[in-house]
Amino acid sequence: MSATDTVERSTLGLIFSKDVYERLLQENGPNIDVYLAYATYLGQNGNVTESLEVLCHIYRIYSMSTEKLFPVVSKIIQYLRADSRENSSPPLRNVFSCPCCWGVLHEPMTLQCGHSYCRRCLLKENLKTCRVCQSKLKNFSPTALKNSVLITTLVDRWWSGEVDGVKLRSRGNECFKMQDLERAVNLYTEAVDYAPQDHLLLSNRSHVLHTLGRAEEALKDADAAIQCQPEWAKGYFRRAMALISLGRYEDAFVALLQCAILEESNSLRSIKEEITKALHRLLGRLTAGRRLNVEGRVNRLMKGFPRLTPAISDPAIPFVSDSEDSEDSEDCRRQRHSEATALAIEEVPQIRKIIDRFNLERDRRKKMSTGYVRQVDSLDFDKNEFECTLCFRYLYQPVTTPCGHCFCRTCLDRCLDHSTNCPLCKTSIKVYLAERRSAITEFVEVAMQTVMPSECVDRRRQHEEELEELANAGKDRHHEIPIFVATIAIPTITCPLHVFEPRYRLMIRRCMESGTREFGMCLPMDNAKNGYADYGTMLEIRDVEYTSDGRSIVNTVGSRRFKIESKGFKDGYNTATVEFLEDDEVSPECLGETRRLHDTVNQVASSWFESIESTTKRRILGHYGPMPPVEVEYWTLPNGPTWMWWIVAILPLDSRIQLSVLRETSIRRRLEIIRCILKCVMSQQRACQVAAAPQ
Amino acid sequence: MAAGLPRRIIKETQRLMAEPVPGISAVPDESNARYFHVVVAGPEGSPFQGGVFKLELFLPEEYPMSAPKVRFMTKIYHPNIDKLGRICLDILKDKWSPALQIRTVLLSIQALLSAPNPDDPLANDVAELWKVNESEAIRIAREWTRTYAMGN
Repeated sequence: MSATDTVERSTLGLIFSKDVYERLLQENGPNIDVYLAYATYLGQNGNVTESLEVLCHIYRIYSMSTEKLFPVVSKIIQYLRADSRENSSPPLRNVFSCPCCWGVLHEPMTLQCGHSYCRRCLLKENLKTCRVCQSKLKNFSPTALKNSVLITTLVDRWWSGEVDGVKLRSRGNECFKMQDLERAVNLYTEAVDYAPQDHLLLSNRSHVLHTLGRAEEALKDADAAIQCQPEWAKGYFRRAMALISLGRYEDAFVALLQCAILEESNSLRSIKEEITKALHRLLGRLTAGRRLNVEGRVNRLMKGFPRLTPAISDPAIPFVSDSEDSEDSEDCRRQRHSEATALAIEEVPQIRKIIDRFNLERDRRKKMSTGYVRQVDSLDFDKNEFECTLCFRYLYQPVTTPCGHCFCRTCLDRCLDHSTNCPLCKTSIKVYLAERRSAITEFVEVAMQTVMPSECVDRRRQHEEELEELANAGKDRHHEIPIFVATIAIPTITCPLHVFEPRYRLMIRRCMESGTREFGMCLPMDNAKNGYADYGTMLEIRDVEYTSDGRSIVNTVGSRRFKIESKGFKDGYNTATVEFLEDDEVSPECLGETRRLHDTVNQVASSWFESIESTTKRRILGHYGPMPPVEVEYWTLPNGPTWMWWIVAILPLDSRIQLSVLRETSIRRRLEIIRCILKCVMSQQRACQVAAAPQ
Repeated sequence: MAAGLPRRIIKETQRLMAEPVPGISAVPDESNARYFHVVVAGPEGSPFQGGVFKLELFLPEEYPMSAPKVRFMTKIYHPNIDKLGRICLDILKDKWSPALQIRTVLLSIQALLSAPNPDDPLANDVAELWKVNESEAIRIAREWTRTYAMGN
């Protein structure tokens, strides 16, 4: 295998063993690309120290560029990040801080997933997914969002000092942009009085001080920022920048590595570039004065590859310059290559030390306190602030509209049945409705649970009781079932419904949320109490398809029949207590006669169906399916044989006649009614045929 | 049967009792907690000053999803209130929002007495006179106030 092959293969991602690289270098002589592939291989497999040692070796032979170093650094960082994620739990997130800047929420805005950010952070970061839950942000534009009203109130109440600090910091940032550095420092210093724990403030001041050349002070601020938020990547970046100014390259390199493993966003390019620069400088220093020379060569040779000793006994190898910047002559270079052929990669104690320090600092950080934790003051709050303006109770499952208003989830859903505007500010919240949002606003929920835990428990219990009440619908004569008044539903027959009326939207939602997935369907009747029939059929919900404006197509199928005992109302829709109907038992002495009648009517029904006109028949088959087969012991079923309902559904009947079949609990009488209807229908058909026949 | 009185109605009633709106009293009926007997004092500086106007306010089953039903029981000469006492007020119709309350409704009615709006009339003849001859309209309104809304 040639060296070029190796390089090619290694860039293709083929993994070689350590031995292969070492043998290649031994047999084919030094090759910068093989060395780099080797360093990459070591780095991505977790041998960071050895990888850096190979790099160090390269620096002793070649003059390297940062461009060539960058890919190796990339792989090392990739390994370190993966390793650090694997071996430690993600940093504890403070729900009261912005997920972007970790600072106090300034002008908080709540995303569709329920997580809140500073307005400025959202405008700046151009997020595609939420930093907290990783959920995709659909049709998201921060400019379309308004500040969350309740969170703003709470932040101002609990962390007013920090908010003042943020305001001064913003002014400081403006000054920095205008190059008025002294004034920026003064503003930051003033802000520190308000918010001594504001890591952003300390980090910004560190940056400006660094720009002003006050590296010692910059370092102090960076360290203070790290103290406040030990898991915050940028603190280490500031520290590294200050250290570089102070010429402490090794420390800077370690700080940059910390920064790289902590950085949350995946845009690491600038960090990697800084690390590459720092490493380049570091390796240059480490190898300065240690470029390969004759003496060194022999020693290393003896140690690494004893069998090659005779090949370098040539004393004519020229002296190699110590200076890293000196221009190597072509001869020198060739010479160095040939001598390095036999040179082993040696341990570099300084590199070991640096990596040990990095590991030590990382482990220490993990054990360290979490720094400053933003906490709510459980004594300073106003319970009324947590009241839902719709139900006047404490918020339960608080949701936030794009216009920044907070309501109980179910309260807002109910308003959206009636109007697509926010109940408070009347802004259109069609987007909220169209996306069927329901994500709880985490900040508000956690804040409530922190400051008023017992009230939250009570409120949850209330909600659960209400849900249980709904779930018990129809369980016995005391529990009302919801009634949909629209049409006649027939057992076993499907009944698709277009639900658009607000009250029925609510009803269907409740059927789904409580898990009953059924409701009663009754025929409208002007002369009956409350305007609907006293008999009906339960409809089981098979599925619900929602449209973006909140309407829905509900696919249902008829099940049990019922007789209404009392009628009532709930939140605008009808309810009733009912007795479920089952067919009367067929006595043994009547069974024979009933079965004979059944068979006759079944026969008549199927021959009638056969006789009807083909397009109508096709339509019936398409909608209701073929005539169901007769069940074994159909007389024991609560609704009798299925085909009878099928025939009732397809016959051209007035719904009041259908109702009369529905309420009948004697199979025999139902059969008689159907026989009578069939007779009537068939004679009408015959009359029509005669009339239509040519004379 | 109707479910128990919603928490919201109970709370609203309690708060109306505890902190009444100045110039307005609203008392729930003894037998029907959704029916309120309302008395509004004619606002100062309006032709209704000195009058005491009785209204009825009913919270329908769907309240707060639909607006309360409010009607003047006392006769009043006002361009936005008709002979039957029905009130032309946007928040009682299409501008209703569940975030509004009994309190806000009553305040709006009080404000309507202070500022009649003849451009959006319910009682056409009253509105016409109000536009053509405002001082005459105000005179009649005062007279009606004296006749129907005082001393009862």
